[in-house]
Amino acid sequence: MIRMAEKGKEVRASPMELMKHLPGEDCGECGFDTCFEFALAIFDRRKRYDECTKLNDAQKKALAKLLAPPMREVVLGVGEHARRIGGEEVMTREELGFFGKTVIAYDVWDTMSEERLRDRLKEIHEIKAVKVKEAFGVDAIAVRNVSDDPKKFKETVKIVAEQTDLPLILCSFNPKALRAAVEIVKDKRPLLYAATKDNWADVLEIAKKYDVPVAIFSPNDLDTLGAIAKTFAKNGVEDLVLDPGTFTEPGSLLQTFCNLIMLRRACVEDRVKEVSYPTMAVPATITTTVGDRKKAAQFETMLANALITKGINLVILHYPNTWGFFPMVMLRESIFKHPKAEEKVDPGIYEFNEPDELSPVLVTTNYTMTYGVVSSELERIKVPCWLLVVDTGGLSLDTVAGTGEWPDMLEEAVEEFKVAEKVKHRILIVGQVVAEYKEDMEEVLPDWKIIIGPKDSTEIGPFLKEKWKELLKESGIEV
Amino acid sequence: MVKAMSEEKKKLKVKLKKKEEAPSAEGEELFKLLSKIAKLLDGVEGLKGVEIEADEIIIEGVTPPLELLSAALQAAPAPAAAEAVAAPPKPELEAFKFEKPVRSYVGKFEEVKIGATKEEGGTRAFTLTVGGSETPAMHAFEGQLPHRPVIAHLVFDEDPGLPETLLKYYGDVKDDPVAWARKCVEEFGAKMIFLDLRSTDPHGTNRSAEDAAKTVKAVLEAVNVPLAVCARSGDMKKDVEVLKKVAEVAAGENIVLYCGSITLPAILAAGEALAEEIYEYFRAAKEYGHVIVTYQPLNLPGIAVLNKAAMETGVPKNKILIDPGSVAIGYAVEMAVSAMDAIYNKALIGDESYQMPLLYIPANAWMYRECYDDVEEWGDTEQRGHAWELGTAMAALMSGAHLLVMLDQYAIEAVENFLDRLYMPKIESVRELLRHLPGSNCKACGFEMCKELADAVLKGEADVDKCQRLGDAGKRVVRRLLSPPSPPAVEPEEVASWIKELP
Repeated sequence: MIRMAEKGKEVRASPMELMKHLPGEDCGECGFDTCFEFALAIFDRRKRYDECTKLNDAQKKALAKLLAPPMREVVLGVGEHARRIGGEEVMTREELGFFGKTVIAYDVWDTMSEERLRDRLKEIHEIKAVKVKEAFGVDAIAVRNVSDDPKKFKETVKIVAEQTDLPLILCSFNPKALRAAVEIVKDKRPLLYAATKDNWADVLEIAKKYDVPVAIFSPNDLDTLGAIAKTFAKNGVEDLVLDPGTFTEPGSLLQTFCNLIMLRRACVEDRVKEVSYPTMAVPATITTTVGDRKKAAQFETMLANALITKGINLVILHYPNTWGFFPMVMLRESIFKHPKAEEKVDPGIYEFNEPDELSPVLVTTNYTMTYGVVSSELERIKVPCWLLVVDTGGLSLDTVAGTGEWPDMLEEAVEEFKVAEKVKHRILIVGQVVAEYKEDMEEVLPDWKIIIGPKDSTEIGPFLKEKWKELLKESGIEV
Repeated sequence: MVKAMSEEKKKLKVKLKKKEEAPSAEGEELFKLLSKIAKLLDGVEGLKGVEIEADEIIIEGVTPPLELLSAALQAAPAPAAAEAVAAPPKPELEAFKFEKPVRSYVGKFEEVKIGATKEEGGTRAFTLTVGGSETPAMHAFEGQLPHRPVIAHLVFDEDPGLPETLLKYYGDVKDDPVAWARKCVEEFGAKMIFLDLRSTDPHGTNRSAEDAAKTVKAVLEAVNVPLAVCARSGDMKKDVEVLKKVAEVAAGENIVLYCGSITLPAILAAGEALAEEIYEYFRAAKEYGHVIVTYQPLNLPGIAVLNKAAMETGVPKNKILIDPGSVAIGYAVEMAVSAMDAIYNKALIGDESYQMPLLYIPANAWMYRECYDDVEEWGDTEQRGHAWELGTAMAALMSGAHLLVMLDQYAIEAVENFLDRLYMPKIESVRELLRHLPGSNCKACGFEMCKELADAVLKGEADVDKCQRLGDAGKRVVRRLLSPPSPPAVEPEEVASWIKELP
């Protein structure tokens, strides 16, 4: 961690301190055996404190206070599509993790015909990124007040609200338009975009009246940005999102990154409460510099990916498409994954390069690092094979090797994932670090032959190419 | 002052000017009256746009009896009294000064030079320098940006089975690494070539080290840009054998020797020697004056072990690059990002084992089916492939990568465009200018192709205004790059209008 000049940095509450406010009954309902393990989990934010069902109000209050991240958490929208953003505590994810997962929004506007509007909304809703078991869609819709006409804006927002349950971002600098539109969706916690140096007093009134979150837009002027945020907070409006402007031109693009980085550091390290809110950007602005639709779509995706890497909380885009949304969501899911949670992969039997019943079965653990390295190697060598991912609780093979539990874990996995039904042969290839358990493994899996594979993943390809046919032959199967 | 004015039809504005005096009794009376009016108006269905804004009442959508109201106000208490009642006051903007959160860093990244000109004992037309970061990536508010990251174009010495999207660029040269390298330099403007000797894989074509060295020699003769040569078959022995031979034939050229199969023992005891091949690799680089790459995927301690061993073997610190594990989006890219973050954190507090510039290979994205498989629910295959390598490159750049190895020319052009916007170089070639034009060859400017317009603009024979597709912002981009720096670099109005003006 780079903390050369720490100022006013508050130290996080220790697990011991958190422990004082937990029931201490070790009831196990949270999934942990002891309250202390739960304390560790809420300390590094793998769990939220309210996942303990036995807290009384005083304990809840105390924990909320002790665990409050420096950056405010802001909720956009309501119901199952509501998104919580912010809550950040660090500059780089390796220090703890990023938490306020980037909300990805696409825009519609109020000068579209109703038909076009409906078509575009449909198009936006159809975008899906599918990853193994989970499907991700667009998170929010931004409605732009291009006409500057409050009536038109209001009508458009009405249609949009009828068509979607996603959180809305009402984009206008005209307070009359914002007021007219928010009236339609006041129960849906839309984000007002934006309060500026010119309209902040009116927007403040609206936000107060309707109790909705507000984005503050102060292009390249962090003094004013902080001043408006401070004023809003003083007047009781604290659900804020900061937009220091998304400049994309030569010279100014760098300033965009600098502004966002400075805001984040002022918040998480220097604890400047006036700017301790989630940040947002509008990568769509880069599309105005390109002059070609396809290129524009690629460029806004590129910029969004750059911002996501740095942990931005909200982006507004203009070209809805699956080809760009897919990698963007994959990047977001990775960057905002909890560094400690990522040590686990779902156990199971995975296919590589279309294996058949004569393809080899390799065995690994559900430790992400091992799985990641092995799976990418298998993709690369293009040898058809099965990969059995054994549930070791996210521990690496080296670690498990020391415990003596490996043979039983392996046996369970072979049973649970019905490996015998996938292949005709009875050969399992395991890593070298568990070689000493060869006999134990064969004892719990009497039908199977255990082969000790290579030490390093890069040797898997050669190993399979050289040995597999021979191994099959040895077990009486001719290819 | 109390003023009643009709600004326009159906609009009445009552404005009470504020004064720094205590409210009088009469003033309070008037205020109560006005509040009552406001409340009453609020309750009337069909009356819209009634605003009470602390010190003013605006009534819209009705035509009030102006004369009567005016008379009523005339009869109001003395102005001085009325002025004082403008409570509750409109909130004032709080004062706030943003203090830049600047830090000082004691450590910095090395600067590594790649290539050697004639004067330096090589045959390259120019050299490249990478690294030199003295702050985390993009922290220009507290230090200088490092050298502009270099993109090395990836060339294979045998066809790796290029997908459709890439065959468009390399279909005609995929079986000839010399022609491939030449095409990258001459047609695609490559400033550096990264030659992957995949044909030496003992489990593949298994070409000999001598044959591979001949290819390297031929590539060095065909192009005059700095070169990197890579062996990553997974067989450390063969890879090192190949790289040793390459080091010899490229003596004096200061190339990058990339060995992608260095294996360390799972548990390294203190003081334990590494495999002999690793030292052979280091010594070859040292003897012939080349740059090495310490590659240990997502393994920071392993990287430090290799860096220390290399320096102990006599490889200078400024002849080492680190590859932290160049994984693609969707394949643990977050771990590579974290590895790079951690390397920066260590390097900048002065840990010398981690101060070598970072090399990243976004081209590795093409190993995965997300880049090239036609799967309908994944969207357009070609655009998806571009976006995948491009996104991976962004994750690397934003994490501070200094040297990128890329394959897809579309993604390369986009990253160069992005870097132009960060580094504001003066654009002097058609190729550079072209990447800032729409590239759609729409002919609206009167030229057949964007390329011809670019040529005319550079010669001063045409203005970029001729382009009908670029908007004001796009034209500003081009102008700024034609004569940088054209201040001011940041104009708030650049972005203030996005709500209304997105195309």
